[in-house]
Amino acid sequence: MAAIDRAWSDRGVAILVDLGGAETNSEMAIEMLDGDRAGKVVVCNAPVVEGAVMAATEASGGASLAEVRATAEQLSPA
Amino acid sequence: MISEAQLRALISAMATTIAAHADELAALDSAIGDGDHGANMKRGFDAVAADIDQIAAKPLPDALKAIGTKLVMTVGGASGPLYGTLFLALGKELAATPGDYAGAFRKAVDAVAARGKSEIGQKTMLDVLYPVADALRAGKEPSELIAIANAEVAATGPRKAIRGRASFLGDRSIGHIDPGARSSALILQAVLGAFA
Repeated sequence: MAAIDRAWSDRGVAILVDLGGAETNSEMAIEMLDGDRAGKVVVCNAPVVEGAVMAATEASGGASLAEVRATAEQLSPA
Repeated sequence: MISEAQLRALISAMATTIAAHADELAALDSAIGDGDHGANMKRGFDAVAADIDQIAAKPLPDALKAIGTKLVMTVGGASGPLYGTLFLALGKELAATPGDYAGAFRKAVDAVAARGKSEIGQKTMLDVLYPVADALRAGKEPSELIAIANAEVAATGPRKAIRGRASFLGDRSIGHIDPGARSSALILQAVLGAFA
């Protein structure tokens, strides 16, 4: 939750995870946020390193949360 | 009703049991996971035991929620949220239906299954928790529940892991007991042993 707070902006937060534990922890942290904020945090189904690079590049250009997530998730095998 | 003294005894029993079996859990997890389950669980239950004065002074549902929160914060890995959810949900359900231990435990196990997106038979802690929840509802004695838990731990051995870290190994997970099933049985044994 502290990590979400650090990354927080009103435009949202995209989370990249490696193993199952990271995903489970992220989901629990999102549920512990209050309702408005929880809706602005997404866990991307993407490879952690490549996904993070692509998501950060997309986000730095001012893209929306949905666009950032879509860019990261393009890297996942279909 | 569970008294403060009983609650203290239960917390101590869980921490002592996990500490005594930390090396065993590490060995089980080394075989089909990443080997940190013993250290993680010990760190979590040591942290719970360190707060025993504050936790045991609370009413049972609040004490269970405090244990769950502490485990989420200290265990780490996937086990932290999963065991945390078990205790948090148990506290929540017992607050809603005081005294209905069997009903609350079953709902808490359902909460763990939802958290882990898993179900019984996938070589996880659920393989122990669900049969014990069913037996508890059927009115079995604590000693019988412990025997069921231990039998279910052994039964995870021949199973192929479908969820959790061990599932990466596929068929190679077969022949090893699941560390989460074992730690679940140890915690149940510690708690039920106090009532046996």
